Amino acid sequence: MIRATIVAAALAMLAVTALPAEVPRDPRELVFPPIALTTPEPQEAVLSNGIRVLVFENHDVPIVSLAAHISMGSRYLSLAERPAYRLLSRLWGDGGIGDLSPAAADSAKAALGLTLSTRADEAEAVVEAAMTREDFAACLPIWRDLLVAPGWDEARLDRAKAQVLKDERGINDSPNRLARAVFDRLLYGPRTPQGHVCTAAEVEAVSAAELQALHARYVVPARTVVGVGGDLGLAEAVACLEATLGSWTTAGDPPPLTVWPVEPEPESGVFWLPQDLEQCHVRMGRFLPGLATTSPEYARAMLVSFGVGYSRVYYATRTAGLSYGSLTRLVIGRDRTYLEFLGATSAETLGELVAVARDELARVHAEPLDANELGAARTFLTGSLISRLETAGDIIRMTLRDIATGMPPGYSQGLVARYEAVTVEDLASGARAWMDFGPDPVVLVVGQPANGLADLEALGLGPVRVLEPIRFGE
Amino acid sequence: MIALPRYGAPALVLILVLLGCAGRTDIRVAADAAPRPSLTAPPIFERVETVDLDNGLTFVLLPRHDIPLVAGRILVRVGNVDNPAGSTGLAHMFEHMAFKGTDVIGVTDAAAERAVLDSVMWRGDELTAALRSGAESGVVAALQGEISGLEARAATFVEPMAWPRLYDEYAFDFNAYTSEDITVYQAELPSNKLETWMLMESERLQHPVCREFYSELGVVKEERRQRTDDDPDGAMWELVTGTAFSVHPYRYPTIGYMEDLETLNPRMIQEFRARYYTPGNMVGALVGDFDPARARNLLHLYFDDLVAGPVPDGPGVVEPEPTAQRRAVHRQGAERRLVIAFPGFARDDPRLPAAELLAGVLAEGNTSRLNRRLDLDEGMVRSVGSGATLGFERYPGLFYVSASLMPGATNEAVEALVWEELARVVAEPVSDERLDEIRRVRRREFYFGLQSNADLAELLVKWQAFDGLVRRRWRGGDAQTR
Repeated sequence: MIRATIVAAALAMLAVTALPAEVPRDPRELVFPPIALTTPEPQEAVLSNGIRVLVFENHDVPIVSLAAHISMGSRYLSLAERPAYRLLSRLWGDGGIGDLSPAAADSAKAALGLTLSTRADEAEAVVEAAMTREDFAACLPIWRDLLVAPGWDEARLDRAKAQVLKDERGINDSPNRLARAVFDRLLYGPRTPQGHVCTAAEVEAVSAAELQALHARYVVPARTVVGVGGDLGLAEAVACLEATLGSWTTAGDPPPLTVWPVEPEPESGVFWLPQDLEQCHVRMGRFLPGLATTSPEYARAMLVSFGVGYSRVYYATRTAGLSYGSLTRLVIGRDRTYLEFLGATSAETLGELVAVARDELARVHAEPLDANELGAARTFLTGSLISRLETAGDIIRMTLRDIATGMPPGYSQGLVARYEAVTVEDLASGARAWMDFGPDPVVLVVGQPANGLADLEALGLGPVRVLEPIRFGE
Repeated sequence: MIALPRYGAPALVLILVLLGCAGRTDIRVAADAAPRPSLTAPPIFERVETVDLDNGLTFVLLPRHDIPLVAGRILVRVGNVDNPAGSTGLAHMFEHMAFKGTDVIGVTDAAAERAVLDSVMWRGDELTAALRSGAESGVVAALQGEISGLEARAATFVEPMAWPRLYDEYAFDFNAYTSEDITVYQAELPSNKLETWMLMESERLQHPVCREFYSELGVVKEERRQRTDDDPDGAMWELVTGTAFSVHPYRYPTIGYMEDLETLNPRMIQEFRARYYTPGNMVGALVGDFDPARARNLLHLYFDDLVAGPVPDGPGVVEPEPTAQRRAVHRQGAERRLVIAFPGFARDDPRLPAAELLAGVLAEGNTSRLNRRLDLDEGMVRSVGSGATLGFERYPGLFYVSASLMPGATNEAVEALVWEELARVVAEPVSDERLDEIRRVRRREFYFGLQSNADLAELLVKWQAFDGLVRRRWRGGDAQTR
């Protein structure tokens, strides 16, 4: 019996390690065993004040990631509130922590080698800490105070204002960022979270009291979810968090989150922002009604976006030697989705670049995306998703974001199965429906096209309007 | 014709590249200081093993079974420093050409294509000679037209972008980069596609075809325009290294000067490969969900046939000690930046870890000396940075301080304060407590870099390529003194 087992084991080993005599030279000759690409799930607990806690253990390396995600964001704020939110994002963690002055907080963080970071974006705010396992107990109270009781020091606020404006002015020096900012303003509208860039007057008018009020209004237990990833067990993590965060309460229910209404359809046409550059940067976009991150067609749309935009358009523009990295994509948002082409090329070849990209979109009708292209898109999206769940910190981060931004339970983890369910026919019909700029997209050109307006009008996209000079951060 | 509106007056970025012997004295190692406790190697490193092929190629393997993915790396010890004179950008151009396919992948009629590509090569030689000799523009244009026609003919035998398109079907990420010192080919795949990685990488090393050279050269020129010519930061760093080094090839940009790019040709690619892409000049790494026994067998199967060759020498140029400061100013964009650079240390210099810690003392967090002085006290900068090598790895690099200036701050004022703080490192030595804080940060950063397959593969392939023994690095990380 023992001998039989050994022989079986040896045969099994041979089966695993047996290799062909001839070395194949084309990967299409290879056959692969099936593989289950599953996404890991964190464990969950609830603190006495109702805060959900997610824990994912990994004891390979003695480190711990700790994060609180809060349901808030610029999409829920009026235009008037957004400068304060921008400054809150900058000053949170830098204006003092709990009873500690800014300088004392800096020293406390440095003594522990602790990295604390905060982020406040369109759909959530995040307070994160990264530490070694041995420093966890000492770091936890600092992270807690940063979440619950950050300081808004006046001197640091002045510094934050200067930093924000400096950062906004940095847009003017980067052709890519400039094209992005101007295009978002044209497409979404200047009053929207996506299209609005703070002016100096807006930033200067913000007070510390406003930041404190904004924080108090949104950062409450009912809107907060917490995660711990790394070299810490569930019981210990929950016990520590209960002792540190369990007593955090606020009176009454927080006000509901209301999404700020979107602007009407943008004005279409070609807009030219002259800039003295070696290259021309071009953006072209059109909103696609009915498509969003929460819609049933999201997985199909992502596969189409990769199959046509990241693959066909990218490779076609490179084969023609026109551009280092031009592509077409579906920018799928929570509220709106648009089709975008973005690229950069020499002044002489602007028209050629756009023509190649448009030809590739038209080709989806004559040459639909095939099974190989579907496979490539699936490989990319599924592999990218799973590789983003490679570390304990990544796993809790993705799950916390889903919860804080109001996505359905298991949203991200469920994407693998949704990508698998899409057929070649689904892909082809999606490409035909979505990969079309129609007759009236919004087009932006930043730079100096060699043939000036003739280059732009040759695109057949309507009359060209020259934009007034734009300076961000002033 | 309409007048082109422009905003504002010509804006200013001021770059100071300051080089002086004084930098050497700022970094000291106290030989008699008590040794610090060493970093403990996480258990994960117990699983590391190496596979040495007879042709000189070495692979580092680290199996991890947490998720069904693998990350592969092939590092070639060739970079911008190895380019022939007048051919800056060649190593990087070669990396681009490594995605063009083989005599099997990407071609419908290999023999017919080869005949046309031979003609492209000869005409390419003539074009390079014409450009370098300053031939009349008509001669150059005629050759360019002829080459363009030949490439169009060759294209009739080619499946455009077949190699990356095929790789797309198996790998969810694949890319490559070229630095001054090395070229690295990266891929991440589902674990059941491990053999595909072996096949694709060995194929492009053994049977590459230099097709679509001139159209790809167009892509590289666009890359240069985008990342350097139109980017104030890119242009600034090109000037920093170009000024800091007087003779060493670190002074040349990896992307290449535009005038050099114009003269590259397919024959240079062929010769570059023959000299530098030899197995003894390469190291591979594989990290992720695989069976080591099977991986070893596959490595032999796919890579044993690479023909061994001599390991090439480096450029053999030694940067002399500077005798005076060099200063340079570049104007582009609206925001001011300042860089001060000093001669750095070689990778195996015992002073390098101390220099790395010094960079932390100067610019790590709000409590660092430069941040406190320039930002919090004086409000002169948006950010400061410091580093011990500027990313150079095979030869001594640059110790540097960089600053992004706030409006109203002058370069002269910021520069003066930087010098004061550098002098203060000597006058007021760094405390043990501060040094421990920096060590703590470095330790945490190191541990956090051990979590993903990709990061581990990158780390291991470099350790093996530069240090020859994976665990050697454990000795250096934490045992530095003031």
